[in-house]
Amino acid sequence: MNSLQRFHPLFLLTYYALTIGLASYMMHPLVLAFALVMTVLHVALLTSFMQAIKDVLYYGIYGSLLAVMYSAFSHNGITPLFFYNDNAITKEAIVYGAMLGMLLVLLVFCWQSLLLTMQTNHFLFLFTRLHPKVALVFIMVFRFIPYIREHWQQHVLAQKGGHYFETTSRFDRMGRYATLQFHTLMQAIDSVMWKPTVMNSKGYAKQRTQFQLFRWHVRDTVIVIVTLGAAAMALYSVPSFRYYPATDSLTLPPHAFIAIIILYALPVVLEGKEQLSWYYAKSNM
Amino acid sequence: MKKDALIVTLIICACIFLFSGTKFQSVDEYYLTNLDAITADSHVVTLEIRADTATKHLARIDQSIHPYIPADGVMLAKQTYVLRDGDTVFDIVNRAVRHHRLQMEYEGAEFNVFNSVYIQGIQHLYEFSCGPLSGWMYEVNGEFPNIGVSQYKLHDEDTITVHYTCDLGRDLGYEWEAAR
Repeated sequence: MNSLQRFHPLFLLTYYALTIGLASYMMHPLVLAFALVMTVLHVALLTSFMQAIKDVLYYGIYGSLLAVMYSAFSHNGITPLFFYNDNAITKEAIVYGAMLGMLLVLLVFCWQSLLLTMQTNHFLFLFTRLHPKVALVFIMVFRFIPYIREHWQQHVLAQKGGHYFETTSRFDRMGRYATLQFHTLMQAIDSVMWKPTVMNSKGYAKQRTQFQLFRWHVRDTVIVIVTLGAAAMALYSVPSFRYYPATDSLTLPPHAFIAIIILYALPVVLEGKEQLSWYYAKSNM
Repeated sequence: MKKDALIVTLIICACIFLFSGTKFQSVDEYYLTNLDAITADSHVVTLEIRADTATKHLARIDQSIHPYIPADGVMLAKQTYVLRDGDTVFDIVNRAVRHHRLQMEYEGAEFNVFNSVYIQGIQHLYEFSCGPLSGWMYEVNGEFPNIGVSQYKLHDEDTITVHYTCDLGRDLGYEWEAAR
């Protein structure tokens, strides 16, 4: 079990909203780099290191493409490297594009971390009290892609067993993958569309509430205070970083650094502690 | 499948890169713009680039841009340039900034509905740097033409001044047609 799942769903949602929101707002290279490393570590601890590294390399290529393409649109900056079609390709634009690419990869991993931490029952608990339809919309939005991924892997394994992809043509194989993806998507939409009808028949739209699995504990109060304090300190002390016309120097005051460490290293520390305890207990068996 | 998606994305990027046309120039090659020598029978125009309004509203402008705004507001002093056949205001401005190694960013005529080049920034002073009503405007012979910078055809002895405005031209004494 994910160690963060011990905490109240309201804290979890607030935490992820704060971390994603602050990183996007501050756009400081050191903050982005640290946030990315910590988020990748958290996902690696929950899944596997090899898979996390492969994902970093895969999404990193898209991030790099973004860095290169961005400099084709923005030509501000005091350091032109060369001119492409009479437009300056500047070092500052490439740096900003690279930061946007890093932010994109960070968002992907934050999303993975969120979906590994918050399950369907968390969303149901949070939003059913507001309105059952709102809860269902959030579940459809947040769980749709993981649902498709799980079923896609099952379908691919089943079809591989039936030798469906064994063709000599690469494009024919791509076409068969596309067909299978289409059918998986249709099945997922169909299943998602039926869910409101099922819940409606069980009475969720008529004053029935989700059984309360989550209660507010003292540890939730403590962690909320720590997180909000760190976020406020980060917002107050991290200086605004300018990319144009000249890139600012990479400095962070010590208290800003401490705030960032507390905010972004929290899941890794909690999960790392649990996993170390588990391996220690296992080694004593 | 993920590898195939990446290959397709890279192929699309390569096609965009190739079909958009490719002209690479080093920094020195780009700025190596020689101005035509003025002879007795040359047609000439004068050009000046000023940012006086920016110097008056420095508090509204981000501090990182202040070092690039001259104290007297003169980004390019008044100078005479040879007018070639068919030259527009943009042609003269482009040639002058390249010769004097000034930074300029512009949007090509094919990217807007007015079918004219649009100057976004000169010397890192961009549109909206001094608020939502700021940007670059130009006047020829004391009047502000209401057409794009690459649409105005110049004549002999014209005087061009490119100004930065913080109030949609009102701080330069210009009133828009609708307000007249």
